[in-house]
Amino acid sequence: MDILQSLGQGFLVVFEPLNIFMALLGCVIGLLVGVLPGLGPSAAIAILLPVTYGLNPATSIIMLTAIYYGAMFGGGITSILINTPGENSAVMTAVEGYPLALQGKGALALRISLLACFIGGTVSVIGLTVLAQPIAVFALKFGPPEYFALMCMGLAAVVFVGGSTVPKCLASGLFGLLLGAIGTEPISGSDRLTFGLLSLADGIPFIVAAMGLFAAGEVLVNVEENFKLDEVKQKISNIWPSKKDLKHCSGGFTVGTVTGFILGSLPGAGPTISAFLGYAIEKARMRGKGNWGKGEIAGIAAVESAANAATGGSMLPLLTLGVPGSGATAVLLGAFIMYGLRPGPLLFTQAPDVAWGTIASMYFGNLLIVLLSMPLVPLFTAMLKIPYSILYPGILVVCVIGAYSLTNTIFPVILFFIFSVIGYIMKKLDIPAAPAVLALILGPMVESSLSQSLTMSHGSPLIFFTRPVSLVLMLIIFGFMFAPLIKKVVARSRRAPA
Amino acid sequence: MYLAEKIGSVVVFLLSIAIGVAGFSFNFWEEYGPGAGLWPALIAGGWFIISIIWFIEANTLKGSGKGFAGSKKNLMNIVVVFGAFGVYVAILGFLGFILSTMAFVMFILAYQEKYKPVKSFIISAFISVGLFLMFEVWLSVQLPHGFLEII
Repeated sequence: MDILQSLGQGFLVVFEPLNIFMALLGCVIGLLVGVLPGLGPSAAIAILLPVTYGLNPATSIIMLTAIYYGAMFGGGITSILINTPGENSAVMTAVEGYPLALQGKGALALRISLLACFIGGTVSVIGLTVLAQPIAVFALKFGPPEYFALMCMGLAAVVFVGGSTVPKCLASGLFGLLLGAIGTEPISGSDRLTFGLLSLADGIPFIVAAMGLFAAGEVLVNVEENFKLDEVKQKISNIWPSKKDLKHCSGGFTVGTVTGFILGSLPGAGPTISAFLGYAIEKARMRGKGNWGKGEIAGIAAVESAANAATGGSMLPLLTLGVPGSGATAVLLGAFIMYGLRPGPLLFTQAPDVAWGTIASMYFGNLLIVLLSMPLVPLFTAMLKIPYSILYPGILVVCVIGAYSLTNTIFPVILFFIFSVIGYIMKKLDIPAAPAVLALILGPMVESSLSQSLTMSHGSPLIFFTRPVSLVLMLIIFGFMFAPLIKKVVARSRRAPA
Repeated sequence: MYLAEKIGSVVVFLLSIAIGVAGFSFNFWEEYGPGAGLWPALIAGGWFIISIIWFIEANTLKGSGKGFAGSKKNLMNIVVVFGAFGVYVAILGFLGFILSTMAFVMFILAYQEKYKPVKSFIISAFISVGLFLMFEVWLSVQLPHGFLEII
């Protein structure tokens, strides 16, 4: 009953006229970001964050969250129509959706994808609604050692499931921690690593780093490769899924939703891994029967429901524990902090309008996107005809505006330029940016919890191993650290008999 | 590319030393608990170990790999775009948002799309004035006015 009451209050927040408008705007921007390859939700949220300064926290977070799940919806559209995934999680949608588009069944694929997005997104928000409060209540018992271990686990998950090699992910994570260490030291209050620059006393603004590493890095790599989009060549006929189609896809919807929510709620996994795993499980469950690889609607159902369920799942650790599991949720955490809010168990008591407003807005947003998507497909395909050489200077200029607006000085713009160069180099060297941004945001909190824990234990690191929750979390971290090594040993021992 | 990886690992190694030295200039432990130097020293230690592992990994890769920027044309492309972007950032404060953005977008269009000057001018004016109106007027985000503010 408590949960329903709180959710009801959340809906009251969402149904304020300005919040409805901002949720709608966020959904459209998210869909557009998802449609446009080379600009992910993390970058879009970072770019638009400075623009939302003037809004109240609930309105801003509702809009930014809408961009996140809107992008997941939009990612499938270009995958199906032009074989170009707007999001990494939509790669497998392209594998099954594009052949269907070539067969003149693009609309069928789009509608299955849309339905999967709606089911995955809505069921995951139901999961979020039910689990948020109990987890938050449990987390109230956490002290500095537990928080330190929890945040390290979040970082370790992103680092070790980061997609590139472990040293590169670790280097990226440590780079973020280093950036987070610049500025006023949290315990003594003395300036650290500022090189005498007063502008650095407040630290590196995470928005500037996120925009440079995520957006500019990605955009500039595309520029170098003379990125061009294919045009939509297929006619989008008006085919609706039949009852038989829906029955055929029901397994995909279920598998994708369950896989997506569970994996999404674990730090580090996120929509991409969820989508790939959802696809693999559904393919295995159907024992390869069907048109796999040549246009299988059950595959689209599994991938899209998994990716969208993962967005709801990933909000769970963010809202209840204050630990983001992906680049986009890391930027969202930054947004909360920017508004003076600290996601975690206290958020539900200190700012229930923001916590429950965000959750309620996700129900509303999922419905909005279903209503918006199909009518907007022609607009999105028209957007794809704009040359990239017009789009990318526009993206860079909006980033510059975002950086400038932080302090109304040129200094953050110069920092943005430096981070763009670093982001480009990292992208070229296949060093993921997400661990760096996540570590930049979590770094000061990790350092504070470490200092408080060590002060509590008079300098003994054993405090992390003598308290049950932090011990379990530490063991999980060690599991992440040694998993690649164990995998290598197992693979070698399997090859040895042959 | 493997050369770039080796250079990357060496850069990280050198940075770890620099951060370590900077960390040592602070106290590791104060009377009440950890000092300001502990955290940078831990980060520097982590980077130090990782740079060595990365360097060894890069050395075990066989062949020369593909070039960092693919081809000379690609490299030229990115150098020009970074150069233009750098100049844009440098002149933003002096020329103000509208003029500097127009110059930047016009240059990119002329360089990459080979648009005629009039077409480049119209598109760049549309982008810069449109963004100015959207952010400064509609969203009340302050943008640099440059010397135009004095006028």
